[in-house]
Amino acid sequence: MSVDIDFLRPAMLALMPLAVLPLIARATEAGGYPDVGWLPADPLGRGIGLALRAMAALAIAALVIALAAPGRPRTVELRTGRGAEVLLLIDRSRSMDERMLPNDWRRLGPFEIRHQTRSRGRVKSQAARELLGEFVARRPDDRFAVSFFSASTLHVVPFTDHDEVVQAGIAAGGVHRGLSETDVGRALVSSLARFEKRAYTGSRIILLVSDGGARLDRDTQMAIRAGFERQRVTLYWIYLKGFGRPDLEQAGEASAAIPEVALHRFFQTLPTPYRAYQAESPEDLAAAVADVGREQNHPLDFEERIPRSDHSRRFVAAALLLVASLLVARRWELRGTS
Amino acid sequence: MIARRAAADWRLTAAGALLVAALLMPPLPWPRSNYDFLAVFDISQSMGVTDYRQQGRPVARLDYARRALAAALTELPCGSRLGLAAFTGYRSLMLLAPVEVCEHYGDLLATLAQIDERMRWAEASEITKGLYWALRAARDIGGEPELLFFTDGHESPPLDGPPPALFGDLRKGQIHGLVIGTGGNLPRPIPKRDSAGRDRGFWLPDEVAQGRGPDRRNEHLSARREPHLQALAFRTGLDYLRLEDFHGLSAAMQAAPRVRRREVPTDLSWVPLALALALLCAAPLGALIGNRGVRGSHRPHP
Amino acid sequence: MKASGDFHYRIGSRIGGWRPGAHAGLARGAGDDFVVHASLFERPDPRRVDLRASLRDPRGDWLVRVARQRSQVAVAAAVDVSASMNFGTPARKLDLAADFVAALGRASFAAGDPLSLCAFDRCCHDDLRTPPTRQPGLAELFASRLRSTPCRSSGHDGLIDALMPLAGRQALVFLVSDFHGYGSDLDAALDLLVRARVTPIVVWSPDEIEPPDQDGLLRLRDLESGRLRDLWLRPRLRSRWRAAVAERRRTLQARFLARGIRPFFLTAPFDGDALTRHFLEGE
Repeated sequence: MSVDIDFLRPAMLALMPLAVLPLIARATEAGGYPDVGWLPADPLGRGIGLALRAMAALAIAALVIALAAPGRPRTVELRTGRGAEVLLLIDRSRSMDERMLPNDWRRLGPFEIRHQTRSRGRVKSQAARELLGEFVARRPDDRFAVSFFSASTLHVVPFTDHDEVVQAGIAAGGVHRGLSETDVGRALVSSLARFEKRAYTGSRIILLVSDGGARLDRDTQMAIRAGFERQRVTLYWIYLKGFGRPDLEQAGEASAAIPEVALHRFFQTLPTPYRAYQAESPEDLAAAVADVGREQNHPLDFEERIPRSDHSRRFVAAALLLVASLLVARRWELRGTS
Repeated sequence: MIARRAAADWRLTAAGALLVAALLMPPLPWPRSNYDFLAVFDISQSMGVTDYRQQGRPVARLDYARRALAAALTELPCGSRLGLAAFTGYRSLMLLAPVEVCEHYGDLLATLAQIDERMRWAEASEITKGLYWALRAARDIGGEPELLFFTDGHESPPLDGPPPALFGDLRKGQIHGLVIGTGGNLPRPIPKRDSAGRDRGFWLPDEVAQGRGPDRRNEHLSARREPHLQALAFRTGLDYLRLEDFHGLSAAMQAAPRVRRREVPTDLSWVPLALALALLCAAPLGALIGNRGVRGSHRPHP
Repeated sequence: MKASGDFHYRIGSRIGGWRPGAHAGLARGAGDDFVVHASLFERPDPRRVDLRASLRDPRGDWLVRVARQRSQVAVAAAVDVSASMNFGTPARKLDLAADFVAALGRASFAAGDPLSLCAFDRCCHDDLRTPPTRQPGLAELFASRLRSTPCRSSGHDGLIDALMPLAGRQALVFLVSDFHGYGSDLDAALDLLVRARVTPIVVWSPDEIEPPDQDGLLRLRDLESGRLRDLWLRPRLRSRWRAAVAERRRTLQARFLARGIRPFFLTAPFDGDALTRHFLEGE
């Protein structure tokens, strides 16, 4: 723990000489007396009087210090908390602008579903953004990074514990429609590189939010596998399954031709933990996000930025105490000589 | 005498009350001048031309623009907000919704550092449309920030004929801000980079889309296209600024019409503190400098 | 019983001067204060021929009664208006001094003596000075001006200047002051007044000599030097206070008595009878 002190308004300390005023100034409220030399010397009274003036001086000094706003500067402390480093990798392709099933889709007939989904369902990207926003807000101990991907990967927010910036990054994803292409393989390689040169602190997660898959070529697969192995990153895939889109868990050889299933099967071969959540409606999405939140609570060493702590209140309190004591002491002060 | 003592009692009591107020006082909303910006960077290939110099070293247009903005940020009053976006192809894409610049200065710099050619999701550079999209972004992000559109004006493919008309949902002058002309006057070759950011020499004349007329065959070279950008600025109701130095950008950003008055929760406890200090110092200070000669009369004041 | 505001002064010794007045004087003249017989040749005043004495005179001269006339005496008062006189409630010490001056005006008018008044602090106040006069109104006016004097400056260096017109003269001089902080300058002033009959009026406020009854912190500031003195009032300190006052009184008395002067201690309210007694006791 450092004892550094800094001042927000150091110029105010120039007022410090005011503190000697009560010591040097003639007390104006003291009663006049023709010749004090005549009176008996009283060390007790002298001591009390001196103490009162010292208290007044201290009150002024405390006020001047409080005005200068002392505090411990912003520091970084190494803390162990429960949390993770989470990279939110969000698909920003145009298909994410499509709608999900409405919440009451189970009660709808098969004919209505298609129609109602077009008109009523939540837009996938919007639902994902809102839930991710909540997820971030509920996990203050985690450090987040936000990246979007389409044809290229847009690493928008590098790892930070400033939730506000993370939320701003997520919110930016909602401005206007998505881009045309997606390259999830490239995005994963590039995202894994984000963990490079960062101290391994406990728990690393890539939270992939997308609605589509891809068949990855062998080079990309190797790069991804190596990346996950080296960086020890857990992968969560929240698959926003649109109406009529393939189920990840389809069995059979033939289904390997479906990009989503192919991607899922590749992820299952990764050396690090992997889980997939298929979300068809906002409900499912919320359940998936909550699930991730429950699972990842490993101890995490992280550098916590301790904001500047202001100490001026302590000095105000000290000054108040002194002023109050002076006020109380006045009860024993005789009024004049009469 | 009595009145003097009563005044002293009153001063002490008032000082105590002010101190209590200072302790209990929450931050109060207080109008302060600050600024809202949405900075959009052209990340197309021509922004890699190194026609700026800093400390004797060549600096690419995009790098210079980012550094200029980073420098200007330090001069913005706290409470100002900045959002970031990038432009390539025909679209400006919002990257970071506006956040406060003092609290998140480090994060803004980190995000700013990410805005480079590796982000590029398309190879074209239709600046006119990109600016229109940027205007839309500024309109839709909330708070209608001032737009800062950093570009060299190099359209690719080149515009043949009149530039595209302003999108129907946009009005001229709805969004204010600056089109910031980045780059030098002399046409220079455009460096070629692959998707991993490696240098691959320069673009050759037959590798780029050239214009139709015989005088439009130099699209492989790039300079700041000022008349085009000025025309664009005029059409959209923005101001035009030529990016020459950091100070010029900062000054243009803080020009009077861009000031926003916003109520920011402000710790005003210094006000009661200063008053309490004045009350505590009044009597001894007055005794020291002022009416030194006045000896307290024992008579009550009439 | 309200103390009388009037007093009468007396002069113990005979005074010189030819101007007739109310006091026993040295000058010979019309009076009933018989001194000696002289022959009519020496004193050709047939109105004062003493027949009985002439008859008894062995030489058979006509004898004339020679008497001393009653003379007047110059009366003067010098009033300290320095800051320490500003003390006391409700009446300041200077107000007490003003009461005294007014009474002196009446007394001198009754005795028919010319009265001159002046005030001093650090310097002699020319604006607070009256020439010798027998008009009673002027003393009253002077007193009222004293009452409105703010008493700002400290010190009493003006005492010598104020007394200079009286130097070496026979007069009745009242020194009105609290006699705080007087040193050798008081001796110098009294040296000036060797031929005068000096009556110091020591003005002390009751607040000044008697400590407050309440216990507690008493913060006092010297009206002249501005020095501070904080006292924690308690019975023991109160007795020390009173002892200090008594000591000061003794010192002052001894100092004046060394010159044959008896000071009069004036505390509120002004008691004329006490002053009259003071003069009677001085016989």
